[in-house]
Amino acid sequence: MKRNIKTEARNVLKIFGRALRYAQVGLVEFTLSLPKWVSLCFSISMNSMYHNPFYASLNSSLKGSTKPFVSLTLTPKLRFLLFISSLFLISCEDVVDVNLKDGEKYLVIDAFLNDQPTPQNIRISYSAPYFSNSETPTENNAIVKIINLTTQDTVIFNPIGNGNYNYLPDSLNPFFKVNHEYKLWVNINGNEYESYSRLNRTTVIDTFLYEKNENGFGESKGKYFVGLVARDSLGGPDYYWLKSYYNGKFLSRPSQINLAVDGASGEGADGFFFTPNIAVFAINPDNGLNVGDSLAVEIYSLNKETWIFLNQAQSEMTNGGLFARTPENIITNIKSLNKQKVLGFFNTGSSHIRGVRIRE
Amino acid sequence: MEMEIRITTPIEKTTFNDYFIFLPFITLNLFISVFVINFVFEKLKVMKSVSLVFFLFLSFTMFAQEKLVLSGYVKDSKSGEKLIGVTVYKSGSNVGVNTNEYGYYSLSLPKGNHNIVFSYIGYKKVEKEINLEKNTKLDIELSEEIIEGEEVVITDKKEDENIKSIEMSVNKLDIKFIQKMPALLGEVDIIRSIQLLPGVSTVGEGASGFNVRGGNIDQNLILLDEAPVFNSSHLFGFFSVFNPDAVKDVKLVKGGIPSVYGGRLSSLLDIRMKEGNNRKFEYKGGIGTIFSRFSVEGPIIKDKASFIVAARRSYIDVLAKPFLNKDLRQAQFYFYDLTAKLNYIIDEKNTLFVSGYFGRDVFGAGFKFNWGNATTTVRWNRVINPKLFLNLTAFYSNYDYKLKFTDEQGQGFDWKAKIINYSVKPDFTWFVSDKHKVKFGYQSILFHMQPGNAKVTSEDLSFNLSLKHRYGIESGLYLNHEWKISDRIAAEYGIRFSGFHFIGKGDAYTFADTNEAVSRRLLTTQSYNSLELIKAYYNPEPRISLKFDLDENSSIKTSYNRMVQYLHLVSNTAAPTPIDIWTISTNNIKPQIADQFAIGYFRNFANNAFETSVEVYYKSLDNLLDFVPNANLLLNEKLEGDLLQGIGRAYGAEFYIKKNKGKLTGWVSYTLSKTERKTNGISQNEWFPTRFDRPHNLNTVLTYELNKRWSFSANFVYLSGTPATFPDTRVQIQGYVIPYNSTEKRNNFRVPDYHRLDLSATLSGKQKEGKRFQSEWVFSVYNVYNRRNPFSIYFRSNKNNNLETEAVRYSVIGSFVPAVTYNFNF
Repeated sequence: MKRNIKTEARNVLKIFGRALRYAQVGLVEFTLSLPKWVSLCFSISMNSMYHNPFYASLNSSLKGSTKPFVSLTLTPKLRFLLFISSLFLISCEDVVDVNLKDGEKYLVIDAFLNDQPTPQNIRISYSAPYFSNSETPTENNAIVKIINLTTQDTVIFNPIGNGNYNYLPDSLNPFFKVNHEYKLWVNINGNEYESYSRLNRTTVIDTFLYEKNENGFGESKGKYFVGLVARDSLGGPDYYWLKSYYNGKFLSRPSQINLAVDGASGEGADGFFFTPNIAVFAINPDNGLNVGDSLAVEIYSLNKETWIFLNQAQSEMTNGGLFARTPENIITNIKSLNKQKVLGFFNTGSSHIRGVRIRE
Repeated sequence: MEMEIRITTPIEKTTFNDYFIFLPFITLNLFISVFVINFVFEKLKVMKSVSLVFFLFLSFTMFAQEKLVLSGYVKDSKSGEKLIGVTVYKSGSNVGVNTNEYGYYSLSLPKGNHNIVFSYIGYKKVEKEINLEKNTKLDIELSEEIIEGEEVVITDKKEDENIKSIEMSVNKLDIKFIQKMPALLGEVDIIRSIQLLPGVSTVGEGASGFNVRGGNIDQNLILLDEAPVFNSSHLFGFFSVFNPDAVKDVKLVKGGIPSVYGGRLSSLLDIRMKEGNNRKFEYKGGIGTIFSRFSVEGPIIKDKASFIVAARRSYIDVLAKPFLNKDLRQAQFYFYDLTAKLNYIIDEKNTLFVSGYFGRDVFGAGFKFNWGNATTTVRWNRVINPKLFLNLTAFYSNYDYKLKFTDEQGQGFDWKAKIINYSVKPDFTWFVSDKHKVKFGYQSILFHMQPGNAKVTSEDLSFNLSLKHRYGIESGLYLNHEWKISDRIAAEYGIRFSGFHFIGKGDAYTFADTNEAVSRRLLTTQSYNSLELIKAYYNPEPRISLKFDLDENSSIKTSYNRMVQYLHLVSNTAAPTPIDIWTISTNNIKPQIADQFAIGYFRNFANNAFETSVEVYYKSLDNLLDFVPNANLLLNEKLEGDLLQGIGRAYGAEFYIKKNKGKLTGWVSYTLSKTERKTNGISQNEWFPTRFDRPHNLNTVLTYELNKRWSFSANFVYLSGTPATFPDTRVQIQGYVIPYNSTEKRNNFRVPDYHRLDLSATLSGKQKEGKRFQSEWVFSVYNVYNRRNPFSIYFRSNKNNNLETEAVRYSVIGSFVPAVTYNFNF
């Protein structure tokens, strides 16, 4: 319980840390009514407006409330504040050229696997110059195995090119099972790497609700917003990554990484319905949905380390503003047996996916 | 086998009882103070025969030639306001003193006739012919110097004071000059003006606080009428909390800090509030872009008691209200401050001051978030005898923030954090002779830290998530001797014995040792009872300054000081936030220590019209806080396990030229400096530059008085860009491109340089005969050439494609900012 609230509170406070950036959102919406000089500068994105941990605590259902989520009426109030703060803070962001030296080249093993009967993929690549602006270079000469430590079975992931290694599960006799422990083993020219992961349980989505946003400003006005009704499994803690698909397309921006511990953003909300920041604001596309659009959400279970890693990765990818933190390098759970530098993450998780289509 | 031993105690609630246990402490302090005063008072009568060991080193001065004492207060003739730093000297000699913070002076002179001069910035010099037969009390009133009806901003003080005074690394700012300087959004701002002085830098505009000679922002002792102010900003850092209408004097001390002050490593910003006009009522006000201001001052009993009340409030929310629809009308967004002071001259020997500051920033819309300072100071000045002046200060200072959420279902949470200080400080100034001045006294501060009182409610259930309160007592005993050794040489030296007691009631944690920068594992938790000692630190802090006059127009000064700080700001963001917590030193957090050496050459030109100085300094710092990666700083009871302590060093040269006379006044300063830190586990264990390391720092501040009505001002600022940690590598995981710094060096790049020009024009209203009402318009433009100075550059994926990455320049002020302010007084 305690930890949960701490994280919630920390999240709430992030909004003030990001106030300057949010202020720009307000600026866009009120630009027309303001004297020209106020609106000199706005290279603004609407991102993260709905991925806003702030909402979490506004409505967090802390003690197993039966109410799954509340409406969006707080949005306009918040935006008003952002607008007001924008009058004070004539800040702006623009893209600039920066010359960076090329860094070291590290092996990166990207292994997020699930228990679905779909092809499972591991990508082995190398780190690349930050501005290389394309897929990172890949390693195609690896031997990749996953060992089920619970049953002592082993499967081989076969190279299919472009650094990808594939395994097609046997749907009658699944290899990936809940509560089993797995080991990743990779051999590249005699250098060995390994990592361990448990395949944790996930939870299911009971239903979706959606409503039209009658109040809001700008583009989101009159659009539909979806909320999912799902409850954390009792016992835990459970760690989840909720991946959202809008008309079949994964909402893939770093700010849209939607993580949960039990029913909230931090540990302790055991058995709770997902709080609105997770169940509503983070799953929708920025400007909401139109009639006929679809939205699907996958709840994928994580290990605790993976949850820490994704949290950190998200913060490193969205670290701007007046109150930015000192950048830190991401952690890894992959070990080299030959003292080679390696990055990446290995996680086995259980997936549950469900979708909804908006009707009039 | 590893074991976690944990002794749990019930969740702590602050009750009246908790405060009650400190009553003995406060009483004891007061008792000691009164005792000391009486002791000294009594003893001094027999001083000539009884040589106290404590005063032995000075006693020879007591037997020197029989001298008489001329003493008194110096006041402004119009308002009765006491004047700080007025030079009182015997004409044509080196015998002289300055009035102290309370306008008091004491000058030892031989029997006979003397021509005494009283001189002060912007005031008419007064010369008095005195025939000294016995100890004499002489109160003097100075009147403002008006040349052709025009206000003179900086003219005469004792003109070569910067050379003759022993003070070095000190910048005094005249509030009237600050008011002329162009300001962001036209809001006159003391902290922003301080940032234009040599040796002062910041992490960027909009960030709260300032960095002095490589010190962190928590290393500035900001005193408002002797009470410390913990967060000096409104709105995250854009405006400072000091209302210029209530400020009398601003002084920044960057080095050679006398032993009277302690508790912070890098600087002392001493802000003194006005006492209030004790002759007539006066009203001042103004409407700016952000604030509207109003102040009243006046006599309660003429020439005996006066008051000042000054208030400011932002008003954009008031203007916006009528245009908002119903559900927005409850939204709150404002900040205000209220400054008040009362002073009462009980009799010739006793004066009492009560002052207070209350300021808050308030945000709300379905939630409440607010923070602010409150300080109350009570001071008693007593002229024990003409040579001995006592100032007894007691203050209460509180910084707190609150976050509160509730909904209709009764769910919500309520989070408060507080720093409370109580302090008593008897301070004696003993004007031994014209060659010796001794200050001594002690200060004791009780800290009551409440890092988080959090409560969560859900319907009828509630959970207390509070962190344990922490208590500490900081004490300092000091002695300071100012000595004019000869006509050309002067010294000021002293020592401060400081101590810190981390006491119960509270928990003390011990953590496993580690050499890596990772969270340390908790080993034991031990609970302590009220007032039980957990950990004590003691430090002697020597301070010394020397001055050698080279000739009439130049001098060399040098100083060394050691400072110790028992209080730490826990912040790992680029700019500090209002919710950053402060922590006292504990068994795990050692006090910060700094040693600073400085040497300077001071020279005046053209009949003192130009003051110039060059100072170089070297400062080494120890036990500075840093954090393990991914440290959680808020509501974390094991926070101490996430802290690292490292060392720092800073050195630089400051060049300063100031023009004091004529229509054009102002200064140009250039600072060349370097500031670095080193912490095990961070940045490959190597030295790295701090976020505020700005090697080149050029400031130009000029004001030109065109005529009676118009004056113009300009600021030009140039600073090297701030260091930043840039990635060099991309790591692709799950389709995300994560920046990675393969050098693992912190602050390995610099953002582009910062430069900015601001202009302002002040139009004073026509002065009509016999009318009290005066007004002025201030027009200003900040960032005239519309430069987008980067606060930071950060890296992200393009909105539409994660694989395409971009560097983003973030400018806090991204455009030029014009503003108009209207001021009046009557």
